[in-house]
Amino acid sequence: MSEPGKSLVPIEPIDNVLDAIDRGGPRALNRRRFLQLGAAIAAGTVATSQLGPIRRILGGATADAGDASKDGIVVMVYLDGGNDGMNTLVPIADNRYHDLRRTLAVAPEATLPIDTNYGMHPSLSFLHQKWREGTLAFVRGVGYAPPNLSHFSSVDYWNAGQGAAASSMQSTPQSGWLGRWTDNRGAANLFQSATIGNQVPIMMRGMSTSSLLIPLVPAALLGATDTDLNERWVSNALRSIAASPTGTGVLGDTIARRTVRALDAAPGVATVWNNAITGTPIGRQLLMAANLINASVGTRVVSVGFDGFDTHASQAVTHQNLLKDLDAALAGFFQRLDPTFANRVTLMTFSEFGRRGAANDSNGTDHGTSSVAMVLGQNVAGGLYGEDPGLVNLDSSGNPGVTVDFRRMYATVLSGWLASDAVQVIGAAHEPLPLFRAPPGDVATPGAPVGLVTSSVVTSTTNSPP
Amino acid sequence: MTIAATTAEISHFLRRATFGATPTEVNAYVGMELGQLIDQLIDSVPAPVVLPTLDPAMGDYQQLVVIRRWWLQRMADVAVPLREKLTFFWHGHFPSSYWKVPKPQLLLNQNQTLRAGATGLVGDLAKAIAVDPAMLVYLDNGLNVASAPNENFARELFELFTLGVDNHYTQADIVASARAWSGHGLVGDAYVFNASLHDGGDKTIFGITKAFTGPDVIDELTSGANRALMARFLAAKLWSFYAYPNPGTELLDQLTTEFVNVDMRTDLFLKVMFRRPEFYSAQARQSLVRSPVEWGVALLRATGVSAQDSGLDWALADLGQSPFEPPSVSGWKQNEYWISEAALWKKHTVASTIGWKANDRPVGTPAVLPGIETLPPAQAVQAALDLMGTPEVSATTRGALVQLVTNHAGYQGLRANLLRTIALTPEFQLA
Repeated sequence: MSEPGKSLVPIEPIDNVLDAIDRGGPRALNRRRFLQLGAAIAAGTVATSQLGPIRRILGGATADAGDASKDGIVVMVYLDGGNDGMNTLVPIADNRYHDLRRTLAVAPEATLPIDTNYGMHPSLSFLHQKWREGTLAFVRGVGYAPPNLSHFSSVDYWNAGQGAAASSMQSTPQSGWLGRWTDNRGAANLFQSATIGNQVPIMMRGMSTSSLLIPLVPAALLGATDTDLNERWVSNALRSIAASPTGTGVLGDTIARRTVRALDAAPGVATVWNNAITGTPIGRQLLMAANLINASVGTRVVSVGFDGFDTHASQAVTHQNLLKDLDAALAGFFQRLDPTFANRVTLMTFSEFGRRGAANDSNGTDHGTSSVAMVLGQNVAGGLYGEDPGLVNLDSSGNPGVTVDFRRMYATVLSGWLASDAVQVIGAAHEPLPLFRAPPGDVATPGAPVGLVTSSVVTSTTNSPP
Repeated sequence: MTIAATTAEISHFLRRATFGATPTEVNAYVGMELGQLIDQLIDSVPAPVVLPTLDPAMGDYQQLVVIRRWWLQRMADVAVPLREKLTFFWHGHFPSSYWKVPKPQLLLNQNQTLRAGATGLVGDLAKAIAVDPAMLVYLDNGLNVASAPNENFARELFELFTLGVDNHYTQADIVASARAWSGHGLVGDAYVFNASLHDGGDKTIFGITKAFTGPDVIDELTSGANRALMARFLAAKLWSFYAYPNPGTELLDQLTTEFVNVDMRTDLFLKVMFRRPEFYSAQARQSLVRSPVEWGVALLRATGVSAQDSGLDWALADLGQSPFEPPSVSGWKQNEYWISEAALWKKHTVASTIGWKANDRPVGTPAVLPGIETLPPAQAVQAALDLMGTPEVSATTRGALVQLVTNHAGYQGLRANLLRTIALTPEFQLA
């Protein structure tokens, strides 16, 4: 698909392929045919009248009819461990920042310029380019209150997006906000929700649907080919086991059902690794996400994760490298993304919490409360959103407050990008942020970033670290 | 009056307390009373531990490969790997990861500490782990000194190791506990308590003010007012690991009392736990999915294929459960987390490798399922199910397997296809 017009497989007339699939059902869609269909779409050699049937076959029937070219797509990037928001969007003009962070404070002159008050961490050159284009938004002060400094309770709460407060959660939540979104759409489309990695986070788990889990490492997938006799026997045996209740309870039935999903999805998934097998894990995950979206199989929500942000010690170099890898991975994603999807994709980073106001004495930072989230995409109205909680009023743990409930981010995406009833999904009304210049699929009028302060009263030279 | 355990009880007990058993292994215990069997296995002295020698010239990563293979192979080889499974439980409870601790020798030492303390007093194990060098690195307590407290270990000690999140402790208790643990650090790779780096002042923890020094925080947990909270937290976790997740309140109340009564000694508690009728209930039998390690080790045990030849040691990373590399300090999750398309594909790859290795055994090693080609399909299926320690399956599963064997007439690779298919059935994937 990445090389239009150049097919890796023998060409069979598209009409014949469609006929074969119509006769044989979805299982007649083997890897060769999948590749061919994808390549034909990319090469533009498919008649408009054929596009609908092809997408239906590749993606399965979608629960909602309508114009797919106006369907928003959301990519969630979890920064695992608690990203230091203050050293991502650096409050260069805040003396308190320099006092509290001491050697961990990023030098104002090293940052990439935003306005008088802020600079971006020097590792974020691609994101800074997006900032200048006006397609990157920072949401400041994002988190939840009252805070719970546990990674696990915090990320559970973020993933769930509803229910008991983090501090009174009695057990792991059963479903996540994007999982409930897919519940509303039904499970017909295998590719509508995808997670790249080795476990589906709660965020992507619904009560009746789950996210297709695509492994990071390429492998021969059972079900990807129906030409090998041994594999077909094994696949057929597993399909017949799943054809009726297994008598082994809910978990056993789930195993059987997911096995069939794997067999059905295998031909499509095999293409997702194309040119995505080198680089950092987060870089590869995002290249795979772009490939999946480019395949035009009805993917709407994708989850990827990036571990290592729990910087309790020796943070400066670690965090610099993490942000550098993140920046490169995001650059790779947007480079790989087919331009026809550019105005349909919104990517959001999130983290369970930020870091403590003050540096600890291990040259790191302990668990915090609020952080910054980044939202980017061609239709995102770049700028600074949310109120910076600042470092003057710290709580008893030494953490800044929360000014934007994280569910406002979800409400923004659900109502503004996924055409969904946010209240139904997250259980309460949260005011969306005005993050989009135009709805998905529309051409947005570019504009300058919003929310900047460019007064010349404060200069960075007065704020050098003591 | 003694009543002999049923075959189903013995089979279920062995599947959960170890990694599964063949009908032959089960039959060896037929006639014993259930409690007698439980006591015998829990009290049995594990096979001597022969730790691998790590050649410093190997490099850290190669050493990690060695210790991971070694442990998987030990799980597969030990006659009754009850202690190994329990050690694996503790590894998920008191974890350390190569990601933060790139010193396999320290991870191996921690593994041995967990094994040695697996059945004893939980308080003793917690104290040993608190000053275990790998843990001192993993949760940064090695950096925790009076002038610069680091609360990472102190937080997880309460949140994940003893009480559960926000269960009768406060942020102030964590800060005070961090001060108590200051000075417990490392010189090189060895644990040293350095009094000059320890904060000797008074600290208030759980409302008690004194000059806590670290290990006495654990004493306060195991003997003080919070002991029942700790017992409840750990009883629930052990029950969830061995029986089914989230035991009901009434059962958990009773388990908590039992655990407190035995001073939180794990072997005595396991004897109680494995005797509970709830452990053998229909709910229990269908309520656990084998974790990737449990699933893989069961395959190795059934076929005799080695950890190294199977590729299991590598595949476990993609399956999300690489020993010595837990994803976080909270260890591993359960059940639904192990069911996915990606897991099915990866398990198929592993099972396929193992199936073919079992099909084509090297000269001089015993054949797997000798002569199976000559058996009628239904008998061939039963022989393979027995070998895999899953003798009873649904009629649908049995029918699908018989069809597979029937298809095979005249083709190579019957064992490979039969074993890999069984490995992917719901019956084999459930614990």
